Amino acid sequence: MTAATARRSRLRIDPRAVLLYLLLFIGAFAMLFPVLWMGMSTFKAEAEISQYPPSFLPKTFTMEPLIAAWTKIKFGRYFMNSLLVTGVATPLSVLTSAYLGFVWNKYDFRFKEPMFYVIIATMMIPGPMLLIPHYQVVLWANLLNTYASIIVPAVVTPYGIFLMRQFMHSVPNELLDAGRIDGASEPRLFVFVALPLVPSSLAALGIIQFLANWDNLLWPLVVLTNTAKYTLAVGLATFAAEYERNFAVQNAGAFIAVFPVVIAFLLFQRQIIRGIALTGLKG
Amino acid sequence: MALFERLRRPQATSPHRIRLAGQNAMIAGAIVLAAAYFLIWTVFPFIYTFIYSFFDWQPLRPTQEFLGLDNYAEALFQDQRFWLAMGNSFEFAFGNVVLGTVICLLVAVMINSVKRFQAFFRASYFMPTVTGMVAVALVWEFIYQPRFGILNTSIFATADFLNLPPPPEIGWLTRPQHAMNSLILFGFWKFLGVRMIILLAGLQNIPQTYYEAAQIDGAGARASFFRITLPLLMPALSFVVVVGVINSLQAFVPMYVMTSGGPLFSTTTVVLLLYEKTFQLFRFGYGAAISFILFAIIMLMTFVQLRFLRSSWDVGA
Repeated sequence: MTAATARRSRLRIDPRAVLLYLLLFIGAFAMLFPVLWMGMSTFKAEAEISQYPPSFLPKTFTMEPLIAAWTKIKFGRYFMNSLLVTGVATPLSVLTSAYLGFVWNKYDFRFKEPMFYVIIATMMIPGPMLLIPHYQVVLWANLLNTYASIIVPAVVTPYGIFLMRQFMHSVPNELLDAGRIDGASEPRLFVFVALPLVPSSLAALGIIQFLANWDNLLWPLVVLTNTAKYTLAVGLATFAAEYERNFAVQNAGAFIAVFPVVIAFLLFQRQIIRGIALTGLKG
Repeated sequence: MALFERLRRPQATSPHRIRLAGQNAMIAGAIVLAAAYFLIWTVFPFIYTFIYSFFDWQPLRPTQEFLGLDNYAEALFQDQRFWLAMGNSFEFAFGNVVLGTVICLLVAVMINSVKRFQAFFRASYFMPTVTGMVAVALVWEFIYQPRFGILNTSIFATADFLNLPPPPEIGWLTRPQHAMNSLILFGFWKFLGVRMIILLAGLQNIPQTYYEAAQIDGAGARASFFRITLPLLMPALSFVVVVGVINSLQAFVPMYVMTSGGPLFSTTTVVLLLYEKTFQLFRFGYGAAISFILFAIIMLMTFVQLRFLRSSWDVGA
């Protein structure tokens, strides 16, 4: 191949590559569109939402649906409830997962493997199946309509234990032994040696648990009847089911639920995607 | 602590570890925590559900009547809605998994083959995954709305622009023949990101040298795909399929939020039926029987798929 033909082939545009990029960009637009559309509709007045022909950008910018959703329908309250429940349950579940994962990976004890198989097997049980006895347990514990009824069951997760047990492999036993020789206690080794060595696994698990808690509908729907305790997911679902439809307010409520998570995703998308790919993820 | 001392294996099995009394407390704490959680929250409820699926269990009555297999018989042989719901569940799962897996594989291969904008594509295709299910289900309901939803108005506007006669309003969620397909499309959008990321990770684990060797041997793009990519992607692909079937048979939120099981029962899935029977009609025993049938079917499906796919799929790995 002469230098001239080589240069020509470098300049030539491959039509297949163009088609590939075109398809991918159209697909990306289709994926982003519903969320963008929700964002745009949040700042449109009720009348503009249902007008024909539709407009993408709001013609007259208004905060009214957002304010109405936040105050009148108590979405502000629901948001705070969601934040409380998710904010307490998520770090606790990451901590218990790390602790149990550490013990099951680093120590030997009798019935260690059978117990682990039982934990794994519980992941196969479909969630809705245990809804009734779970309700009964909460009823007996006198915890109906409390934040605790949502937080406590989310504190231990079999998936998290399984994940952290895998990741604790990367903590060298020699390092723990060195710590032991220096006289560090076992809990100290867990907190100050093991945990600092697996920060990305902790973060990945934290993100997965955050999304699961933030998105949880079925369980809170069953145990919460007091509207003051509603989480965003429950508030949104019941608003859509019970009230005379006001799409502008409903859309603004959805915006309140989605916006903070999307912003967090945009900030940390590289780590989140790497974490998800790392874990194989459920869901 | 003596109990846990006995629970520990002889030290000989792990020669590299130094035995310290502190370990016993750590192990004891972990076992107590795990036992408390799994006994109270999983094992006990599982047995409880099983026992009460043989009773006419009503939570507000002091005594429950033993029915034997009547609840199961009612679901399997009398309640026509049960089989309709089962059919709907399978329709959703089939659409979601087949459409989802094939197109997600295509998207993953496409994204894997481009040099530029890869991070952008990955992030935008993944975006729907991080949005709350209830919230985006409502957004999609709004998009599907027949009169002023953006999907139909876009169709009207296109017809207007091309000077065609105005097309009829399509009831995406209000017509029995469209509703389930609309939900499948929504599920496809919502779950594409997760599947794509797993498949992409699988693709990137395939050593580049295999493709180079195949090229030297004269293999074309199609042969490389079917002889190298697909076989080596099988673990990731079967993970996506198996988890996809398990999760879509349990789908609840899209139906609950967008259609409430309608129109004309066309989107009532087994989980929705179970929810209605239990928490609206308070027939706990019947609900328990339905949930055991669903559990048996999911276990069976998972088992058959694992055998059929003959994969190296390892629980969640």
